[in-house]
This record gives sequence, C-alpha cells and structure tokens, in this order.
Amino acid sequence: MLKLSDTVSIKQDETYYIFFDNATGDIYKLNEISYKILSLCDGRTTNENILSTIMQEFNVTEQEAKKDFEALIQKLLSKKYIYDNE
Amino acid sequence: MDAYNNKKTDNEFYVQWHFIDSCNLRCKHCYQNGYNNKNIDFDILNAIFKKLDEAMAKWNMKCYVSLTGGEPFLKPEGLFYLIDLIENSDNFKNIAVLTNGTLINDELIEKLKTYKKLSEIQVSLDGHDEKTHDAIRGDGAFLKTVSAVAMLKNSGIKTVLMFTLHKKNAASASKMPELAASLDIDALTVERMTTMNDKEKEEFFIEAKDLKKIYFDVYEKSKIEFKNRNTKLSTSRPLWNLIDENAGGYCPIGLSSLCIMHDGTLLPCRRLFLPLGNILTDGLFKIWYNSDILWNLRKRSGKNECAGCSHSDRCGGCKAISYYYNHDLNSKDPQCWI
Ligand code: SF4
Ligand code: SF4
Repeated sequence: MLKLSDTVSIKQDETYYIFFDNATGDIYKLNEISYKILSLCDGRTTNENILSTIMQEFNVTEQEAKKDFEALIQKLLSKKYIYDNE
Repeated sequence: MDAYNNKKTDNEFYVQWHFIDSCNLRCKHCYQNGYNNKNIDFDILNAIFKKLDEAMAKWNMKCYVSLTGGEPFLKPEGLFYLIDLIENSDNFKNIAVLTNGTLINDELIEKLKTYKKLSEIQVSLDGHDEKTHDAIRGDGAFLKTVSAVAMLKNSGIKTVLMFTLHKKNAASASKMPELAASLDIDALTVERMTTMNDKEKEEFFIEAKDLKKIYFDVYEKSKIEFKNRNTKLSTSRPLWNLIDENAGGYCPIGLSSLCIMHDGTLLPCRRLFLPLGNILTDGLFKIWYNSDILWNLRKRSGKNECAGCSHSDRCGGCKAISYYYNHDLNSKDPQCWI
C-alpha cells in the first residue's frame, strides 16, 4: 500500500492544497483530487479503495480517476516522495 | 502538481536570533529565565546559519537579522563570527544588533563600522532618567547606556532606542521623545511589555484606557521634539494605527518572521514562548511547513473582533499579548481601546 515518505507532508490551508518536501524546501501546489489521493496514501488504504473514494467524492468515472491517480503516483514514486510498503 | 512559490524576490524575512542567553544585567521585566554564561559553540552558530541561508535561497527571500542575547556584546567573538557569515551571504540583507548598551566601547564600535550590512544598533532604554531606568535595569546602567548611545551616534552608526513600556515606567514614556531628541538618535520605539503570567500582569500590565493616553502623549510629544530633526518615532507595530491611521503594522509571526534561541529552539516571537521545534534537529523547512502553531497564526478568517475591524489590515493586535492574556492567539489585543 502506498505511503507518503517521512520527509514530505501535505496541507490544506485557507486557500490552497500544498505539498511540502521538508528536506529540500520545495513546495508544490496540488489540486483537490491530488490532495485527496495523497491524504489516502497512509500505508493502510489500498489503491482500489483510494480509487473508489475518488470516484464517489468527485463524481468521476473509474477511467478518469485511474488516469489522475496513475499520473500522480508515477511522478511521486520517481521522486521517492511516496513508496509502496508491501 | 505545479512547482509553487508565492514568495516574491523582494520579500524580506525577519529573524531575531538570541545567539547567547548570558547577560550582565538582570532586568525586572526580562523575558528570559536562565542566564548560563557558557562559551560560544561556533559549530552550533554555523549550523544554524547554514539552515537559514539555505531557506532564504530556496524562498528567494532576503533575511533581515537582529542579533541579540542575553547581551550580545558579552560574547563579541560570537557576535562578530555571525556578522562575518551574514556579511558574506547574498541571502542576507541587513543586520541589527539589539543591546543593553552597557558593554559598548570604542574598539567594538570601530569593528562594527567595517560592516556594510550593519544597518542599526538598537539600545534598550527603559526610562528617561537614571532613577526610572536603573530601578529596572540595575544601578549605574543608565549612565553607561546613555554614554554608549552618544559614542555610537558620534561614530555615525544608526542608533535607535527601544523603550519597553509597562506600569513601572509608564510615567517616563512621554518624556522619552525629549531624551531621544537630546541624544540625536535616529529612531525611538515605544513597545509594550508582554506580561506572561498573573504575577507579571499584576505588576506590569497597563490597562487599555491608560495605554491610549500614553500612546497619544508619546505621539504628540514626538511631533514637537522631532520637528526639524532626523529622529523618528517608530509606529509600525499593532495599535499605533489607532493614533495615526497611516501607522501600525500587522504582526508578522507565522508569515515572515521567526525567533531563534541560542540552542536552536525556534519560537514564533521572543515574547511568545511556544517552542515550534529545533532548527538543528528538525530543520527549518519541516517546522515552517508543518507547525500547527504557525498554521494557527496564519489564519486570517477568524471570527474574533479584529476580523470585522477596519484596522485589521495594519493591526490585528499583538499575538503574544493576546495569547498570554486571553489564552487565544487570535483573540483581540487586550490593550486595544476601541
Ligand atoms: S480590534 Fe483588533 S484590529 Fe482593531 S484596532 Fe483593536 S486589536 Fe487592532
Ligand atoms: S507577537 Fe507581538 S511582539 Fe511578537 S511580532 Fe507579533 S506584534 Fe510583535
């Protein structure tokens, strides 16, 4: 199951959804779907459950949810911002 | 996921760095508890400096740093070590030194003058006369401090006075502009003491209606005393906006300022003793991005009285005073008189 690395964090403030790399100081702005996906990368939620939550909460098709999910996860895995704890 | 940086290149970040906790005085209103006269640990100073330097570079910000203690001139070797580091970094804009002034001598002044980034020396003066100042800071302090101010002014270094206002020196406040003018200093700041517990509140706290009169008197006296002079009254802090609508300033904590203690502990402000973490072990990014205290301070949409106040953009009250008085960072400043 996917988990955020210990050196990164996410935050929803009054205006933005934000992703922090606490080691390098880099900051990224997230959209609401990406923020939800990452908040579910807690090491306990399966990819299937993440996808079904996204489909329900944002009223998108499985195909759309998968597209967003995979694009984001690939990017974050390559930067080692998340890892698979299995 | 877009790279995101909302900080503009011309932005300034303010750091008050208490690089030692030792002091030669024991002032009645001091915010400090311990006064360990330890030797300077240059490795710690260097490690803290590197973290700050790295953060400023990442955020495209320029740091304005006030170096203080304790008493910074008690350890000139530590002070000048830091000034050298800062002078040589593009990420730092200016340096101020905050001092009680009692240890300043010609040799130190000559050395200070060699630094381009040294913008001012801020000297604490808590009374317009010997009796008031020495009752707070100890016998003989007034004369030493006033003579240091004169030496600094003669050397051409920008010199400003900090008057920490509380019940015990309230009667002196309106006489400070006259003293400031006679010393020909560059600026006078009159800033309220933060009372941190019931005992301090009892002893030092000034009620809002009394503060209104004091601020008004200081402002009017300054207009008269500073006319045709280069001396200014600093009015960039909360509540001065109630005296002059163009004055005042929103408290910067959580947004563009931090306080660093000698051991690397970070506080939102020296007057708000809420440790956020340690810059040496946690790193600055982790603390700045994740501290719940800082996120709470960043809230602008609270439902307090300030939110609906026409002054809120240049005021919002002093968060430290509100916290200790109302146990709520985002509550209305208890010394606000409207
Ligand atoms: S109500 Fe709040 S913002 Fe308005 S003047 Fe008072 S402290 Fe400042
Ligand atoms: S908490 Fe008060 S003393 Fe500290 S920076 Fe804010 S206004 Fe100034």
